[in-house]
Amino acid sequence: MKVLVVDDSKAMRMIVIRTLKQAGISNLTTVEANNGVEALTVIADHKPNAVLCDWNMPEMKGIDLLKKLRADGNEILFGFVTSESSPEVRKEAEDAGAAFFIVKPFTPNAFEAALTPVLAH
Amino acid sequence: MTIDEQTLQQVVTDVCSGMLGLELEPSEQFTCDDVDALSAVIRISGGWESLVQVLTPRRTAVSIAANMFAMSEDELSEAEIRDAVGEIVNMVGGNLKGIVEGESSLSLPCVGEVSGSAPFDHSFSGLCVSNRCQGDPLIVRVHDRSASIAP
Repeated sequence: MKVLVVDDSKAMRMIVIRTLKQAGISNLTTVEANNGVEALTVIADHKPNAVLCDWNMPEMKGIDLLKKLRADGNEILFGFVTSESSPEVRKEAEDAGAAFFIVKPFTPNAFEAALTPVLAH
Repeated sequence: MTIDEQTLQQVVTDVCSGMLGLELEPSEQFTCDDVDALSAVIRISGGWESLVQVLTPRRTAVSIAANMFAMSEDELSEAEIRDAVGEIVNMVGGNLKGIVEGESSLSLPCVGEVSGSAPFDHSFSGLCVSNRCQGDPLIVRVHDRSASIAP
């Protein structure tokens, strides 16, 4: 399972990757991007199986990255890991095609609960 | 829903202790008089207008960053130290924004150095919680421009 972690915070990317490992995602490899623009390049070059993306980032926000991917016909498994916890943001994510929504701060159990159902498909 | 100090403290605890594993002890020190401190600020705008600030001595910020990056303190760059503190205010701000009703947006965090008296000291009105983290103050303030905090 190759996962792209997108977050403008390098510290948070490291925490997300550590938590993915703690959640027991099998055969995990990771690639990283600093924002939505960089993520588009990484997706094209590395063909990850899933994207874990922050919401607020410079250059291109996470929701705009998701909308761009779907508009281009890319149905890659995509979800958010974000400090944005309001119902409106969650709904916007779901309407755009996000498969999961994990709120910071998070635990390995929260990752496992959010990812296990979607990775099983 | 309004935010009070208890709610703010819970959010800070969830972020710092729950996720980052930092030990916090409630403190009555509500100013940071260190000559070398970092301040991370994030703005919430829209239905709720506010600024959330995390203020802590540099040595605490370095310790927190070492924890987040799983690196030794002397390996850290200035950018990485500021990134860590910025991410704390990002998480606190985002969680507070989710509690207050109405649609608001969250800015990107802004991190800077503070020397001497911390900003907002003279005109600050809002919420403030202080904890000792690694023996030093970790102060979180919410400067509120609308009526979403409990007096």
